[in-house]
Amino acid sequence: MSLIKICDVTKTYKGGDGIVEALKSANFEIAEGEFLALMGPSGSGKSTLLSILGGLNPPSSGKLIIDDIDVYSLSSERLADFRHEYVGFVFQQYQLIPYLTALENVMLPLAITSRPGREQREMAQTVLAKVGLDKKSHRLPNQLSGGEQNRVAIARAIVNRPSIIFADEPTGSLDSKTAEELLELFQALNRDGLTIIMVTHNQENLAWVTRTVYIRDGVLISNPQES
Amino acid sequence: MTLTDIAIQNLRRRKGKTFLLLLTFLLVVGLTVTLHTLAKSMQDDLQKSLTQYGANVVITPKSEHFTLSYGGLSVPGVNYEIKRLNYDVVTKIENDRELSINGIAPKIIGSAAGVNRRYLIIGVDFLKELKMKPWWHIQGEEPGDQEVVIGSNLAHQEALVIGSTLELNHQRYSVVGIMEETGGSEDNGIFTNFETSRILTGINSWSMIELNTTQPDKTTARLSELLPEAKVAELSQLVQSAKESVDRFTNFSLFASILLGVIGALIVFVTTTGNINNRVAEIGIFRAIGFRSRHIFSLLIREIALVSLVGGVLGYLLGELTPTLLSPIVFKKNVSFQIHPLTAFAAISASVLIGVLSVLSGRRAVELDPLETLSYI
Repeated sequence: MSLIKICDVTKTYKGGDGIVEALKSANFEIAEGEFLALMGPSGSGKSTLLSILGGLNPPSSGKLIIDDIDVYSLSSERLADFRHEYVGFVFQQYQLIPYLTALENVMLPLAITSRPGREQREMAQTVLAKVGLDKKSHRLPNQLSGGEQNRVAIARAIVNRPSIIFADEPTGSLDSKTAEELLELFQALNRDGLTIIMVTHNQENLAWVTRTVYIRDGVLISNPQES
Repeated sequence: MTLTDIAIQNLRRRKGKTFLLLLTFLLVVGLTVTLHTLAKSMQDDLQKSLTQYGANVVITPKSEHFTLSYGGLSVPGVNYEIKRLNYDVVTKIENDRELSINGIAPKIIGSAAGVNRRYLIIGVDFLKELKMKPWWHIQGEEPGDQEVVIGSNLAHQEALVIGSTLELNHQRYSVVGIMEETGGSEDNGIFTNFETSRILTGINSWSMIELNTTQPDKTTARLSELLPEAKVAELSQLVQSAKESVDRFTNFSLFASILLGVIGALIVFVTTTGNINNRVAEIGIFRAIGFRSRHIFSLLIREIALVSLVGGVLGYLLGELTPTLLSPIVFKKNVSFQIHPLTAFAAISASVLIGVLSVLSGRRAVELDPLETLSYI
């Protein structure tokens, strides 16, 4: 069953040399429970596509349908609610809030819900245990290693039980062992039913995903041989 | 976890920035309250002086007079149709329920002939005069019948000391006291009791009545109605210069307070805008997680409201404490430490209001598109 539908999505920017077409008439679907990799060289448009899929970047034309919701027809504030309910982000540089502990960072998406404090804490501790950081929950981000910060970012992305996780180059700044641990974690989450869309340019990561979509010069290619 | 918890953690863990912002609020509120407290204390002192010391209303007989001029020479003090202030005027004033009088000092003023010159004779009730004029200091004693107290200048000119005698209207009067220099007309006068002054001057009515009241303007108006035969004048020269100084200081403190407020508000606005702009990436993360703009505004307002509230309260206390500690050294006067609820409310409210309004200066950053804010990452 298709969870995400991208219908004829185009994205153009005004660049120094005029209009730049970052994404050209993209059409594809992502089924619920997929672990999909968006693969392509730098500047190919994969991060643009990820930001469009995540409800952060309205396309110049076309539609994004997630769970039968026309995402970009929503108002700015409703779009924020949509991201809160459906989407979890894992950024390349983790982007944890520096003045909050690991536990507090994970509780962040719950702070704008009506859940009582104790329930928020229990949910955050459960996901921190899931990513193996329950013993370091009271540390600030600068007291954690890169891999640990990445795990906190993942815990923060899944604590609100979203349908989809978007990860932008999550292994980009990790050593191979930590990267493997992270991908294992993603795979486990995917087995639990979470749809994961990961931007990567590392061929080794493709062994962990269920499908790969290639992108080059803003054009989507399901099979690289097609190019 | 609530938005308030996030705000508190930010303030707690970014100690340097929080401290600087708190210091700004504290100093601006503190200095403004200090100036206000000092100005108020000086005004209170002035009011106290007006109430406790000196006459501020003077009653004299109504008279018509003009100055003759002949051959280029002036012949002043030619009076005609002099009305009299009878002795019952004092009783009338004392019994009037509409008047609020702290002190009343009638006088008989005239002149008497000495051996070589005429002297100014002032008949007073010393008890009442000394109550109204605490700057009068008499060496010796108060005069009885056939006795006088003389001004310091006169004593010096005539080489008179306590125990000397002075001939007035061919009678000898004992000098029983000398008034210390006041710098006023008293220095050349001869002070007697009423009985002696009546004998010496031949005047059988009051020449002048000095009053002290807390409401000089109202008293003047009422006395003008009550005593049609009298000329009633409000006398504020005594404290006029002090009042002008206090007014000048009050105006200065008001101007300085406004200036400080504006400078403080600008510092807070610039600091807050800078802080928010430095947190654009953080705002982007909040937005990506699903925070609405109003959640982020609410978070920023809670942060600044907490700092400005604490800064306002501490600043207010500092502002009330500073005059208490420094006034004895700087102004040689004591200012008691007091909490003024209205001033406290105004100072703390202004502090919080400036803080909250300053968040609006960072509105653009909060309302940026999430992707735009994330591009700062």
